[in-house]
Amino acid sequence: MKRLLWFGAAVIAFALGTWMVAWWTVPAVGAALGLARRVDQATPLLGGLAAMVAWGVLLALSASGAPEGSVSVLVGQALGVGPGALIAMTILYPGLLAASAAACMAWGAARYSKSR
Amino acid sequence: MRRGAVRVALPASVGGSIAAIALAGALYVGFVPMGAVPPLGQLLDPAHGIWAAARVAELPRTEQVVLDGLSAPVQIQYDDRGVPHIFAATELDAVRALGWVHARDRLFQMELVVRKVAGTLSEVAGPQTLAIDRQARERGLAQAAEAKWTALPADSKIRTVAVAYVEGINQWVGDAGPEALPVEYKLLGTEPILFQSQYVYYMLAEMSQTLAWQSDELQRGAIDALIGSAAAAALFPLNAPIQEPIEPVPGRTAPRYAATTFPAPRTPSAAAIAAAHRAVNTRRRVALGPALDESAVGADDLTRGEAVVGSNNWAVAPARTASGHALLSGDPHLALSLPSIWYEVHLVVPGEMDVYGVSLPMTPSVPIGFNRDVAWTATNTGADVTDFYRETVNDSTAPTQYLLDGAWRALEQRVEQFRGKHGAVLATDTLRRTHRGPLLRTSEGWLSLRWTALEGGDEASALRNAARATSAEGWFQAMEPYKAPAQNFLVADRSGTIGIRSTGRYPIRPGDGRGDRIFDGRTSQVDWIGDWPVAIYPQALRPAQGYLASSNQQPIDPAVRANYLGWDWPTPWRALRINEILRADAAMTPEKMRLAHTDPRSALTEPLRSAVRQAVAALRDYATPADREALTFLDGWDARFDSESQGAVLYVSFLDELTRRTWDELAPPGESRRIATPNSMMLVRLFDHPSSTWWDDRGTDDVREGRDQVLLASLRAAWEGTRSRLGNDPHAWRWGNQRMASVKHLLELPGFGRESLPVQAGPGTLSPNEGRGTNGASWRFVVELGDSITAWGTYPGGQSGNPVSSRYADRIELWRTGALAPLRLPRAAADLSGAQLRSALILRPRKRRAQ
Repeated sequence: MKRLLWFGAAVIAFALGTWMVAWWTVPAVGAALGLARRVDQATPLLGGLAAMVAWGVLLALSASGAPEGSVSVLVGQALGVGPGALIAMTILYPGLLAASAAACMAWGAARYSKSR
Repeated sequence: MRRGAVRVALPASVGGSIAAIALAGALYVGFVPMGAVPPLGQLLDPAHGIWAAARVAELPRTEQVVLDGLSAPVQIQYDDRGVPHIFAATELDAVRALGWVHARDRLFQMELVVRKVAGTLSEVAGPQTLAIDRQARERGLAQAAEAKWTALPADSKIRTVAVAYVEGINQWVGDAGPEALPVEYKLLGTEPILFQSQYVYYMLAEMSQTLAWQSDELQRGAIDALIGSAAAAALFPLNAPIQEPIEPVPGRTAPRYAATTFPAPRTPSAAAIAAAHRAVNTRRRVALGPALDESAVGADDLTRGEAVVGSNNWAVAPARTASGHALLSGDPHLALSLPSIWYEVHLVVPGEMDVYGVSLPMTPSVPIGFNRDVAWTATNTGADVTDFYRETVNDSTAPTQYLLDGAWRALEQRVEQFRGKHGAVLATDTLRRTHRGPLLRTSEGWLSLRWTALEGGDEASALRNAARATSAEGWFQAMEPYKAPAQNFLVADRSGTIGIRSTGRYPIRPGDGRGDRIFDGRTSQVDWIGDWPVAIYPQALRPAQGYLASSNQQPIDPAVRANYLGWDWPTPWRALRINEILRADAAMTPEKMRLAHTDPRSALTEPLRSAVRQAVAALRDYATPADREALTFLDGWDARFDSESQGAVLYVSFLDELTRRTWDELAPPGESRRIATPNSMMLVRLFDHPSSTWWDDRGTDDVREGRDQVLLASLRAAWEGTRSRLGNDPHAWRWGNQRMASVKHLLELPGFGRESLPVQAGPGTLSPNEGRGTNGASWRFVVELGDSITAWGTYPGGQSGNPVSSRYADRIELWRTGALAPLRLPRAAADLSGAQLRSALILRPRKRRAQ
């Protein structure tokens, strides 16, 4: 239950950070999450999933408004990737950022506490 | 707690390292571009990156924005076609708002124009555009635009207009936020520039680059070398041998066919062939800029041939219209692109200005359109306004001086650096100028260029003032300062006056006055000695014939006035056809005007068909059953270039074969590519010379072919070739599968364009299709000037530059079919409501704090 609450809070934090500031808040929020829940080995996974959900929601909000064609099809063609690949990249990328940042921070915190 | 920490310590050291590497990698690709792929973080960001394009694709139903510098609120009503109707208290408020709406819909397009003229495309696109940049800076259009701007008096109206317009652009950029920026910025990983007021003149310079750049005299040397001067002068003549001029000849009711001679080509020597290749290289070098590796040049894609121009305009006086009101039709042809070159707009300042038409994003003017009294449109004049001078320099590789009138004069020099996307220097050029203009290094030595587009003129002021005219005469008077690019401006007003004037700066040259050769730059005696006075411009006002038309043809019949304006004029087929339509109909209507835009017939068709018919009859003993079958098929064609046409497929194949076989002497011996191709007008005139040596097939030593043999052979080859290519059943052929329009995105991004569009067009039709389909009608409109103005129009594209907007390409289908939409002309903001109103925007001035 506690993890679920953390997960929900993380989704909101990732989404708000991205919406109100920029994409690079994802690793920042991920790192904060890793620090706050450094004893939980599942934190990187939780953070990664939360970031993916957050961006997925934002993606749905942004892209669903396309009245003509589809951003994924058009931009995918321009970049030489399929529309599915572009969507997958958009979902997976924040997951990687958040999970790795959370893991890094948890690892660093653990090393710090050990050294003390 | 401690036990738990110890438990994860060992795996964490490995996992932590992996996580650190993963994070570093993810951040790296997030912040740093990889090749052509921009930084992924910004690109994929669902709130501000590419995905946001969908969120900002549509106009909000209502919107209020605070805009600095306004004197009063501006109401902008977007109608159901996405056209903003801007209602402002002052002109400066109106143009400030125009800058803002241009930026919202076309920001990237505007930056692209600026960068193209300035020669800085490589800074956003990388080395692939370096050649374009080097050419742009070598020609110096940006410098010329800056000079025009600097020359404006500080208190000139156009200066304050340009400043307000550009402030409107920059404020949109400043307020928009990354999510609203065009998707192209995100794909290139760049951000908008800060726009400068003088960029208004860059756009006009770009139009000169498109419409008034000519270097044909450089190729003339190649043609002279290969076939001899007499033959070259006949095939690429000073005056069109079929005269249907823009300035009507009083009393003439049919085109004039001038006598022609076709001197035989000389047999070129090896030295002549080498000279021809050098001349072709020179033209190519000048066309493509200093990045060209001259050693790689052959006679290929710059061969002179059928011009791809296709603009038309025509107006009919009240006496020849069904309603008794003047009618005007505009049909300017340009390279087709998405977003379109044009942006439709309506600017209203009560008591001062009420102008509707198409604007060029990056300019605060309406070059083609109408107000409540006058309508105007343009076609390109194509006058010779460039000259080249062979200069004698003190050093063949790095000159610092040039010889003039027996004395060495210093060259102006400047060093230009070209930078790539991340600031690295890609190239450095030393650019030089003589008193005439830019000095270009070519395989034939150093040539300096003089070009009206690089010299004075205030086109922006002229266009601004003309938009306020209340009569055709007033409009022409306001346009007198207009210099470049020279245009055949056609005007009609509500009083029933129609008029046309080929407006621009036309230089007067010494001696015979001609500019169709390279001049010896050692003497100033060859320099321009003045400009044409407006009184002798090609023009007509209230013509007795009751109509006027222009289609890029030679503007004045030399039998009437022989002043040199250019040479090797475009074919007259469109001019012949529109004059035929207008002569035949004394009850013209807007609908008939609309239909003429995509009229499926060409004046070229019948002369060719008639000639081949006579050839088959004359050679009946040699004609095979297949030849007769081909002729029957061609004869059965209704001469319409519509998409279902079958005969058009054979006809065009026949025309290609005939062109190739007739002008084989223009390919250097042993080569298949011609260095130049006379246009189809010369081919038709050659029909009058059945035994001319030009008909002879150079590949058959033992036979001397005449006209009829070549016509028959061309028909046979076309029939066999088309059957082989498209199948033996000619009834299954479709013209619509052969020629299509192609509207590409400005960056030619796949998927962003609209391609393979079947259109009603063919060689010589009023909407010609040159093959690739990348040029075409950029804006079609018809205006009826009655008690009030009624107008219809469309262009191939849409108002928005956002490729996922419903306004991006919503007009393509209408344009493709030749249809026009009624244009809404509200007098007040409240006149647009309900279904006619798509979006209501109010721009409010920022409140000043009380002191």
